[in-house]
Amino acid sequence: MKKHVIKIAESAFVAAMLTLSACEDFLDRPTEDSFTVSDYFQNDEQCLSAVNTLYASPWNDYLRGYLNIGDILSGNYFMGADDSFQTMTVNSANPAITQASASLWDVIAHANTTIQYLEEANGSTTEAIRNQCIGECLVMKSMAYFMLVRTWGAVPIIHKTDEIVASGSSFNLEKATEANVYDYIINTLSRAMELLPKKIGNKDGRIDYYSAEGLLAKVYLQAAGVGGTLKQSVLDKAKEHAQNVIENSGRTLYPDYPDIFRYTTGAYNPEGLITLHWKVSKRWTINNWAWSDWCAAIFVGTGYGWGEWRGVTLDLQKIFNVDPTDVNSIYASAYSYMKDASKVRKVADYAIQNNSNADTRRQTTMIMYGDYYPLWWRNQGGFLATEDNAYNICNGYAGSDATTTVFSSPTGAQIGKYLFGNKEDHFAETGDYVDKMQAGIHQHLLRLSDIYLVYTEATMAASSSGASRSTSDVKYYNEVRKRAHAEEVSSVTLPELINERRRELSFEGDNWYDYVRLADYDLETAKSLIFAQNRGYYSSDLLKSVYGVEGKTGTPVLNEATLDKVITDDNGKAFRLPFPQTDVAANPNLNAKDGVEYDFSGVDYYNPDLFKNL
Amino acid sequence: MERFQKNCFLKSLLLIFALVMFSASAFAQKSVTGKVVDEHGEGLPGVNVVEKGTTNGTITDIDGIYHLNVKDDASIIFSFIGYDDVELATAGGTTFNVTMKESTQEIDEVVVVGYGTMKKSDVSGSSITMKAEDMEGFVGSGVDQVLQGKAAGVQVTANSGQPGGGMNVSIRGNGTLSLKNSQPLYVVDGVPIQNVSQTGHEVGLGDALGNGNGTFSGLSNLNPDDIESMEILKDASATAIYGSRAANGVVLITTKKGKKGKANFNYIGTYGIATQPTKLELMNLQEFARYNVALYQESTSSSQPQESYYDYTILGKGVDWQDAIYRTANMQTHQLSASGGTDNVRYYISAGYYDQEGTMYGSDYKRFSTRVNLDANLTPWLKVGTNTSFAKSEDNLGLTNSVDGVLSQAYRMLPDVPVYTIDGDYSADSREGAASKPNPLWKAKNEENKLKRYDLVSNLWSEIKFMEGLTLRTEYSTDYLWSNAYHFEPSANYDGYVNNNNSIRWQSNNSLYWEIKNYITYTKTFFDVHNITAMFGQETSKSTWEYLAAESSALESNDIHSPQLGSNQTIGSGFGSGSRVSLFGRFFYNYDGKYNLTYTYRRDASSNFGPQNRWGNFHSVSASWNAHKEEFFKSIENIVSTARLRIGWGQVGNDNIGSYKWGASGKADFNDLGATYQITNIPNEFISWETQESWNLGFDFGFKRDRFNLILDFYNKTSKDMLMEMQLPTYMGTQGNKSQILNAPSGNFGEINNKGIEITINTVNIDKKGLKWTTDLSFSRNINKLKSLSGSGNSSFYGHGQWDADVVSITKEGEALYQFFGYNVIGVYESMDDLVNSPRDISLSVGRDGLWVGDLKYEDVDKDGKIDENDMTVIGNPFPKFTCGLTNTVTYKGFEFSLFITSSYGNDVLNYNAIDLTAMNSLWQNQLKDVEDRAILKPIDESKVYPAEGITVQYPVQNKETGDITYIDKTVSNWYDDPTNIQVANKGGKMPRAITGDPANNQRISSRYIEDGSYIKIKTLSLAYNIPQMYTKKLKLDAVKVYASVSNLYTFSKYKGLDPEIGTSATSDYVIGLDNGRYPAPRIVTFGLNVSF
Repeated sequence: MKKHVIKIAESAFVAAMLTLSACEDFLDRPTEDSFTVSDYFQNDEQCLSAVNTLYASPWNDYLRGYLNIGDILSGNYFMGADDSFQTMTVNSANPAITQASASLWDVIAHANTTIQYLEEANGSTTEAIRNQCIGECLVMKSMAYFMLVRTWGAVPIIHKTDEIVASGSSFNLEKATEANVYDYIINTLSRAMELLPKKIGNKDGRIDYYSAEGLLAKVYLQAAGVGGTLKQSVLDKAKEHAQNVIENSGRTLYPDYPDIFRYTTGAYNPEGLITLHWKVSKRWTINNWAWSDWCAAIFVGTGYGWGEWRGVTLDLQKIFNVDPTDVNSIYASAYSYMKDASKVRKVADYAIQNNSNADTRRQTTMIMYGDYYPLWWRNQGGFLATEDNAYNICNGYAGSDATTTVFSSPTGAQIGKYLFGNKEDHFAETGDYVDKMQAGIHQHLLRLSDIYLVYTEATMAASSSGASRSTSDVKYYNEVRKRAHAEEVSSVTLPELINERRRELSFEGDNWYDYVRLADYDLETAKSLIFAQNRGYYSSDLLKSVYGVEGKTGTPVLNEATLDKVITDDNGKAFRLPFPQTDVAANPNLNAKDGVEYDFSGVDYYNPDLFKNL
Repeated sequence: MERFQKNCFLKSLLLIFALVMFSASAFAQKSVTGKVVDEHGEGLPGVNVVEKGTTNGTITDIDGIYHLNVKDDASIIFSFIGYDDVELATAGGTTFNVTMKESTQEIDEVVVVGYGTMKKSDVSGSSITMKAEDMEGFVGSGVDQVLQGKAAGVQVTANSGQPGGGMNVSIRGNGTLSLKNSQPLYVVDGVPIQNVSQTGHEVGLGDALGNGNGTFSGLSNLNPDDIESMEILKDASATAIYGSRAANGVVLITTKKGKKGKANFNYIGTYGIATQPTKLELMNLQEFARYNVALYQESTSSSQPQESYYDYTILGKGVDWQDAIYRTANMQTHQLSASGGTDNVRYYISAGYYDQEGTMYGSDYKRFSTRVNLDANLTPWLKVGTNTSFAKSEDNLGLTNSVDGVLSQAYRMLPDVPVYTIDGDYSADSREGAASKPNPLWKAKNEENKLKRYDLVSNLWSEIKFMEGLTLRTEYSTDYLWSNAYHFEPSANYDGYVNNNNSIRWQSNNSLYWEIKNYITYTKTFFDVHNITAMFGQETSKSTWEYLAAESSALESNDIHSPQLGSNQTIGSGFGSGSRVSLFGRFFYNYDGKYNLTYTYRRDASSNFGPQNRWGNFHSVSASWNAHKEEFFKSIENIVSTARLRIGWGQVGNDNIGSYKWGASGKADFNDLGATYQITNIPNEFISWETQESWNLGFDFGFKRDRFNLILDFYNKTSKDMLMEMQLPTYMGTQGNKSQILNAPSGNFGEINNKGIEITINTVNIDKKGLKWTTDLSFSRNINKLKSLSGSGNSSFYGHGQWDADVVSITKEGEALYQFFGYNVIGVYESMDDLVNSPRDISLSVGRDGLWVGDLKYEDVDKDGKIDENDMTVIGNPFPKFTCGLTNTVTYKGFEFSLFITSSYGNDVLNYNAIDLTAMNSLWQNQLKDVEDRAILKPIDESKVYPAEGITVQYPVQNKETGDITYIDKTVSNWYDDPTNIQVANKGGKMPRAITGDPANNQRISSRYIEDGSYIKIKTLSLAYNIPQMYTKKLKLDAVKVYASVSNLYTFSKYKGLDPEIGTSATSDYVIGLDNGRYPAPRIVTFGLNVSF
């Protein structure tokens, strides 16, 4: 009996020990349904796909930021009379700015982490691809920093995310001065240029040497006035790099402006320098949903957009020489429009006129009464913006009686840029059906025509004040205008150049920074340009009185709204947004007004001659 | 083995022989008889009457009469459960009437302690037992609900009143900072329950339940009617045997087992009617119209009210949308069980059905469950058995909680929108200037969020008895859980509300958990007084999970919910596994029933940690002294019947952080450039156990032969190196949308201390002539404090409301956990003088569309003369100062009446739902009636005339850097724009003015939304009647009980929301007590029938 007990106890013990000795394997359970990072970065394809992420997902939360910051603050878009971006009363608790900044910081964190693993990558990876990948990360990171510094001014520099997290200093970081941040961006882009290949054209849609250099030119231009006075030496740098990109990048202005914003012709367009490549996906953050904010409810499919009661500002319309209360001005500015406002309901029955000398950017940028778009709703013969319920953007309330509703844009124009038509159009262009807040339309962060305009601005002498800066080096400026069928000029002043940038780049999230740039060295001129804008809207029906639509009532009443203040950050600095409150609460160091000098000793590629010593 | 069997066989033969011989040697016999009565003289049926030292015996009949043939000089023993045994000698007589006394000494019941059982009087740790009787009359789907208010130190709050909804259970405070890791370990017959609390994300419903909201309970798969007893282990000396998983306490659940005897059938059936007892006080149509017009006039709104609103007196009351979405709901439960056994085999089998409708349309919960508990003696030394249960359940979850939920939408719906149009279709709210809103009732009935679960839990065990006192128990347990989650969003086109695109998601999950354990127990008594029990064992477990999801949109119709019928089809999948390996042991020593000493040890390894940090060791020691067994106590035995002192110390751990945080993961996907691979987290190779150390000091007293019992426990526990994800500032790139961020590293940070006192009092107030009144009171007080956040880099952790940007709570070093955080409202700016002379938010311009008279005035906490984020402060504490549970039971002649009250005192609630419902910033949302108390502006000088061209006044302008006010000339043409002629009419209020757009951000989190959440709740009131046996016998039934009960009868509270009992927020890990429009608990009237036959 006893023997048995011992035997059984023994075998139990042996079994237990066996279990334990095998248990280190039994206990080792890394992620099983996806590659762990330590198993990744084994070949060039894996390196590239790790970088591909930076061309979409981390930027997703910034999609609304483009509109709010880039275009509402700059007076391109009317969001509603009470909107805080519209009235420039954004405070630090505004969730929209927290969300926008978080997205840019996500880009930086992902770029840093990806670089960290790329630097350690071995396996069958090649040096050329590793370098290219690191270069792409550096450019994306620079782009995010460029957005941050222009929007918020001084911000912390997160050179290596893992080191800061490991050192536990995340909560005590100081803001670096604006000049430091620009210096950091310039150095980072210069480093990227050492790593990136020079390629011809833009068939693969990826960042290359010239993407970095184009951005560098734009950064130099923006940085030239930081500190209060324009530095000629910095402007010269901007001009030099812009010229190099224009002349050597192999990229060209695309002949048809509207096609830059259409997927088949635009996503891998020879004009693209930095482009985000969104795609329809059920997985959130891979889709482009920015259009939902400005597209009318029934345009793509009911419930896909909520852009009614918003619209392109009267001010932006004005610089295109168009007035919503003057039908003829609309027809004159459209490249494709209906001949008369007859009551015919079928698009195919309309006589469509083509206007070969209209500025193609007007109708690309905004949809107005009578505009005709052959590539939208192509399964129904094209899209015509009229009062007709079934075929227009003018009626925001599908399902209710068309005759009792008013023109759904209170400014008479809605954004047309980056719209793609209906589901079938989206399928024809991309091969995917659009879904609610899910489109695969690309988005340009930097285009060649922008560099043309950067060049032009950089040739304006630093010595004169903002309002009187001008240049007659208008060769590239005229290239941009010619492409859009606009008249050539012999010289251009800075305020006119800012308007040209609005015509060319509105709703690409950039125009606000033109005012920021000017305000840095000439606050008063910048203010006066903003104050002169008409940010108003019509509070009654445009359809009846202007377009003669039957059954409509009322006469339009203009509610003129101009600003008497510009936005300031928490420290009173004009043309800067307040730093998001959640961070300031966690790290009081961020209250420091202008930031502190950044210690560049940890940045191994830092060269003070690139900016600081200029 | 063969010889072993043979030996045993021979031994058994010998024993039988001896017995036979003994019987044969019996000589002179006589017949004895008599009546057995209780203290009240009532005959006691069913009493065992046995001749001492023999198997010769009988039981008393219905009147308590017995007849037995015994030896002449025999002694007979009378025994009956709940009564003291009586022994008497029969020499010299044949009639013996016996009065039996109810036991005053607690029967030394055996309690489950984890990997074994112990006599209750030997247990030194702190634990609470709940028996099946304690749960009678209970209405609900899950065992966690049973615990509420019944056990001191166990705080149970409902996360939702939805059928099948989860509870937040915290034992002795929150042991860890991350709330989702703080639920206790539940062990059913030795098998740990998996997925105690799951969120919509975890099963594949994504945000369909509202941004991570909506938890449902894994415990609801266990039928409460199958439970025999529950043991709640509270302190570390009791829980340490569960080592790495015990940091939040352990609940051991034992299900019913068969007993030797004839088959006993039992049926329990209930039928209940549930109603919604409370509603929010929203404005009716008249009130809304008046408010709406006023809002238009008081603010700068550009859209106008409906014409009809101007003369509100001709309007009716409109639609009460709360009435529209609630219903009177039915529930029913049925359970049939059979139990019994022979000498060698015992069985308990049951089948149960539970069906509860929610009081909100579109929500319900159904469960079908079965259980088989078997055990058999195969040989005298080998026992085997199984406990196997299967449950199938179906939850219709709806979208009930959260801001987008049906409830929240119904609150906001305007009272002039009818529920149905004249044609009988659903109506919607479509009007100019606002996006069309769907009908909440339509939403409730048509949006599908369904969860089906199938859960098979099986435990197979064997017990080998090597010799007296030495056994080896081997258990193999599995928990196989399949679940399917369905989400369907229908397309719609009614009354101006159009959604062209329906969409569907269907996710299939399955997970398998298994564990094998072997443990040897040795029990022996030396020299009569030295009792030892030693246990040593090993356990290995593994869990694997996988899921496959399909989704699509634009299905042709809403009729067939199959992802295959839609376009944009997407597949999702995932799988993974985790494992643990453990060694454990317990040594128990008892001296003469007086002194007890227990030592336990566990060594655990978890796959959640990296190779260097996998193993953790956990020790505990406890001791107790049964003072009442000492000689010197004999003299006061009649006064103090029990006196026990318990003291314990122990360590436990927590490994609940998710797998592979020690390495970096990535997720593969695609965008238009091609394949993508996104690194998803910053790794921390050092991540390891969270440990917790605790002390417990306890006293058990029984007075007056235990008619008055008092249990007192004091504890102090400290958790160190808490497992959580670092909360880094936005600029580290770890915040924002979860799908795009780089997740911050998880690690071991900080220290929390919980200390408290628990008091349990059980009294028998009256016990006379069949009338018995007992009272059970439990009282708990817990104080928690975050001692440090060392290693995390933070000095505080923030909790968020609905969105990441919105901070609602702070957990700061040196202070209590999860305190509400925001501005402290001290009033409103009642005049322009008040505004310019008080601290202000200097980021705002002074003006009607900025900061103006009637806006909220906050406390300048840092006294720097301006209001900014530095003035955010602690504005409330979600934890109660104490909680109480009180049960009174009166029984009289078959009647049982019981009243159960729970209460909580001193906890604050953040009425998050009220933010939107008192926003006063939109013409298109209904509001709480409270907004009638808002600051109403009026001119100081009513007669002041404003000509059309306006008049020039001194207008204050704020320097946004310094906050200095200067004055400029400005033309105004209305009193409400005139800073020199404006004031608040109703002074002294704390509610701001109404203005569209809310330019002064009066909606920021402030004390405006903090309310006292103290409550007294009449949880259950029940009346039962046991039909006398004289009637039941005729029906050939053993016992019949009928009862009626009301649960959630009434809540006394000052809280203005629906129910101050609010659990955790599933949106944020660091928020508790936030009411975001959750599903309120229904009032349920239940009728029940319990039959044994």
